[in-house]
Amino acid sequence: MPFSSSEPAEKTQAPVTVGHSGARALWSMLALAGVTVGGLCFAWWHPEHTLWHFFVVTQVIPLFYLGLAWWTASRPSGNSEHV
Amino acid sequence: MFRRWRLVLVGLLGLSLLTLMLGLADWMGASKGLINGFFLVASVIGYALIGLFCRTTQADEYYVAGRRIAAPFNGMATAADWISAASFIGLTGLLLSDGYVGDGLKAGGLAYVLGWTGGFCLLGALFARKLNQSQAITIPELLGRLFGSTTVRWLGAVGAILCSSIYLVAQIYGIGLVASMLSGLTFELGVFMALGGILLCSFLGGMRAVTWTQVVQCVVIVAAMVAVCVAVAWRSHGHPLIPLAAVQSMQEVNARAAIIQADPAEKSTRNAMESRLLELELKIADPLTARQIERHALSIQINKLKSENGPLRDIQKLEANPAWRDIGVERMVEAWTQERDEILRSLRRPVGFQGVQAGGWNQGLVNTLALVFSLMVGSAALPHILVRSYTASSPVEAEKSVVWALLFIVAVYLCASALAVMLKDSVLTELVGASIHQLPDWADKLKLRKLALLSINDWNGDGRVQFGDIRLVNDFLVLAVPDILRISPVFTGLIAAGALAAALSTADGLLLTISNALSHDLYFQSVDPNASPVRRVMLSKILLMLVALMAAWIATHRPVDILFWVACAFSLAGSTFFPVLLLGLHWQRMSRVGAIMAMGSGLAVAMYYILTNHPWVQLKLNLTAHQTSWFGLEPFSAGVFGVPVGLALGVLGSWLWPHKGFPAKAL
Repeated sequence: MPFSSSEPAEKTQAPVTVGHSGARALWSMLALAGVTVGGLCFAWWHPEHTLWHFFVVTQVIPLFYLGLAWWTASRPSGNSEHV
Repeated sequence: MFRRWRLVLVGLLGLSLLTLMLGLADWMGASKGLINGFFLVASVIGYALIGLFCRTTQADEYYVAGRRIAAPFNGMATAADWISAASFIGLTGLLLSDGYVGDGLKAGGLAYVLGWTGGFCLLGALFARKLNQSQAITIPELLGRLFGSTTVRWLGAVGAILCSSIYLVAQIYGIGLVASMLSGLTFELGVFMALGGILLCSFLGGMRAVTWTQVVQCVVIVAAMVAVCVAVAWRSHGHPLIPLAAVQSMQEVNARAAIIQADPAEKSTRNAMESRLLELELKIADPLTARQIERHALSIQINKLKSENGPLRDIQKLEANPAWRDIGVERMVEAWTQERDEILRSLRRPVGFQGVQAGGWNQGLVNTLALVFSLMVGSAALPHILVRSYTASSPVEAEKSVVWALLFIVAVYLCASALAVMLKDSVLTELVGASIHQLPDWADKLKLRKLALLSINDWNGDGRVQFGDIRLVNDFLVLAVPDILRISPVFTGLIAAGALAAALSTADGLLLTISNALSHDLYFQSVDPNASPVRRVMLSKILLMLVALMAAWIATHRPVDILFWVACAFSLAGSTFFPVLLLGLHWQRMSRVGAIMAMGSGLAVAMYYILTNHPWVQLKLNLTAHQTSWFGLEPFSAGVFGVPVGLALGVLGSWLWPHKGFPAKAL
């Protein structure tokens, strides 16, 4: 096996533990995927509605992303276990 | 905290004062070159002064700005780090040219708007807090500690250097073009002038200087874009409300596009283009016979002109034909292929913002979804953006700073999208239908620039400009907005200052990432692990300068298509770092072998797809796009293959070779 356990281990400074990011982050990912694919599919299935593309996809969805990022960041800090 | 906000205020006031002064100079009749040049020089001096005031030799300050930057400022620095020349000046032109949903084959402009903003949701939700908690200095260092492996760290360093270098060359190339177009300097001088500005910021003060320079650069980028859009909205519709003005323009664009599409002159233009396309296809299929026939026809025309003492310009034009010049068949085919692709692009370009056959489930939508994915994961995994989480004062502040960054990025993109609509309105209204001998004044200016931003070919020979006749250089079209929309030339300087700030700030961040990976992760890790902090900083600075010079040297060889290489850098970053960070930070069973397999396979797959689909490689290896393309996807969307492969092999490697007993990960 090329990657044996004899490889020199890195020195550690601060503990880096691993864990879940919480339900809010998961919902955030799902909303991100859903809104993005939904917005693009709307644009492709109604290509003639360019005014709506401008309004919904280039203006409202980026603002939605901003709201989503803020909502995720405002989760209680206890929700993010020490990693 | 108030002292820091004072810096933002000073930046804003300085920019306003400079704009007012130069507006006054314009009113008094100062030349446009002088105004633009002054804007560029004043910006570079300003950034260099901040760099000088923030100089440091302390390791913690040099690498991570002391880890005490509050969320709003860290967010501003992240936004400036992230908004590159390609996105600041390229997005508007791209939306204007390709429309929203593309041409039914390639990705539309909407992919860039969503991909470049959505990635920050991933970064905030998945990585920001955990990265800050790690207290590492570079991403390769974090990975090395996470998996207790020097190999992982080295692989991370190689990945970081590779994707940051591609991105850096594209930025320096953009800076050179902006500086040379606006100040009249040669391209090479423009590159090295900008390089001086970059080095003064990052060389002296490392991350601390770069952070505070980027805060001011963020102010310049956002203020420049908003000010230009407000001026354009006011000029076009008599009010400063940007989205409303864009909606009004969109209605005009739609009405005008319907008229143009139904115009028989436009149809005859397209027929002429299609005939030429057919002709080129036949030539490419049998180049030797085609050259013989074309040479014969050309010799008759040239002899006739010479015997009639015809204009020298016409003779030279005929002699410039690739079939006439004594060049190899390979180069001749290349020239014909280029012309064919150019015509194909022009034919597919939508008149308004909607492609003719763009609707429904088609290759364009597949390409768009793939590109959105690649840009999102790339945004969340670019090493120079990730290290911004280390400079925040706490994990919560790191996550909040992502929200602040997105606020400024969204502000710029909302404006860029609106600007594209207003710009297209002017092009369709004023240029299409104009006499070829009496173009609008701005069109003549654009044609005569050192780098011509506009060319017109009267395909049907009717003496009038049709939409199909127009070819705009979209990458830099934003720089011509003040000419096209007849607003004060001061705004050209303002756009240039914004573009320069965008390119410089990104270049600074990339340069630090590359030099830190070289020194901190490769050199000191393997050669001199016990070096003192001062020696570490000094070597980082020397490497930083060498990398900057090398990148500038490569940029002077003019690698074309900035947006292509920037998108490739996103795909490479996403493929290399996203799987390993996602699994490493969120899955407890991820092992050292899994990490190596995730990074190595992701990087290899993305690299392979980009290289084998590059036109130059295809030409050299005699390959066709049909042979190398997977599912018809564009090469810069390589992340769509690299990320899943990285995730799959990361999981597989961890299952087959589980890692046991490493304390830091608390598995």
